Amino acid sequence: MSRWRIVLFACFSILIGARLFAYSCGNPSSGHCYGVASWQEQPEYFGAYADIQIGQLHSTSGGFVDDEIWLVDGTTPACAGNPFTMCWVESGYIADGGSNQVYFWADSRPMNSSTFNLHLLGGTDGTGTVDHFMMIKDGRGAPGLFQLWIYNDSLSTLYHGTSTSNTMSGRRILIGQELAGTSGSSATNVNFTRNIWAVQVLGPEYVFWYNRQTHNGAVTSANPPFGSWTINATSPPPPEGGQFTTHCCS
Amino acid sequence: MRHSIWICAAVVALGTLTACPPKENPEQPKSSGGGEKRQEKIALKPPPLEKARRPEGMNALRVSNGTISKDQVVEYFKTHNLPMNYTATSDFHVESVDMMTAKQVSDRLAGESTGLADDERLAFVTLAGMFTFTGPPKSSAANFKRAYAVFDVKNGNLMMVGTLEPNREGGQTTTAKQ
Repeated sequence: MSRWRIVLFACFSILIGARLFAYSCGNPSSGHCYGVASWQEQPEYFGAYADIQIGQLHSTSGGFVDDEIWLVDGTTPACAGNPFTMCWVESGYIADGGSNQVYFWADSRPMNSSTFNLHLLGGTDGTGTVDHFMMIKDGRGAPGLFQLWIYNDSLSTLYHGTSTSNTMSGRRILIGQELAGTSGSSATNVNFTRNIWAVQVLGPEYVFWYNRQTHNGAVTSANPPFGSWTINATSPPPPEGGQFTTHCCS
Repeated sequence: MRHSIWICAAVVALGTLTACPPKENPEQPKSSGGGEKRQEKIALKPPPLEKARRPEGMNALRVSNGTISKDQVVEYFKTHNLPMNYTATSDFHVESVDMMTAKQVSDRLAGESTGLADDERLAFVTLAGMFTFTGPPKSSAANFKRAYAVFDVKNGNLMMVGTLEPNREGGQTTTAKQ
């Protein structure tokens, strides 16, 4: 009798667990899900930067989970007119379809063909490493260039990308986690610190001139993924721009 | 006498408080005329470009004889979707596989940089069918009738994916959930 009880309890737990860990982030009508903070009060963000801790991301077939930073323009007419109704540059790390997590960067440009391009860069540093994610409009040459870097303190990890023909103006910055799919993903706690933004374009002096975020912006947490301020951006540094923490999916 | 000392001390303390402005921390927000918080800008040096690593991509195909066949790619996309694509692998097929240089890939993609040397050999795969991608919160999920994938001919790694022509009939489907 007691054996039957154990079996019933196990079946019940599996059923409840499956329901608890299921989510609706997997098709265009439901949309992806986000645990993010965003800022959009400056006339233009010339660039964005965050220190993002490397966590353990896991995904299953048909979904992905990532931690990343975006610089977005949904206002410039050429961007509002592209298939996504906005331009952006983004960088972070992702676990997609059960594969090992890799660094990536991507852009959405103000054009109708070859709009979205995703660059897969390589395996990430070990769990707990704090990597630096920097992106900035390049004012040193022709218009429409954004430079992106992903690097660690020792520069043993250093990837670079250039978004071209991208005449966007950064109107919004987002940091946090994106989740796609319906079940099976997970992500350990990941901290975003040094949340800062470029106050001018990259010039010949080759400097990212910045201010830190001084308020928490707008927070969206679809639960999952979970995103929240664990140190308010209003707090005096360190860390600069507070500490935003994400995790997924239970 | 004792009263005088106390009064003198109080006057000195009051004078000190009113005469000396508070010490400013350059990192603290300062109020500007418009009532907004202003900070002094701070310098941060980007890393040197010349030390950047070559992109490695993501493990994908097994390469032999230094080439990638269409059959290999067809097999791969039976079980692997394009990263970040909403639609299923059954919604698209491999249209063509073309060997070309990184420079030619960049030209094919309206100047999109590959991050590789111009003469590196890549397999440019054109995929046809239905693709749906989205972006950050508030972006529209967009439909495309063609997409691409780029593999490294040396090791079969998946280096890039993206969109080609949009599907105007399908249009934008919805706004991504926040």
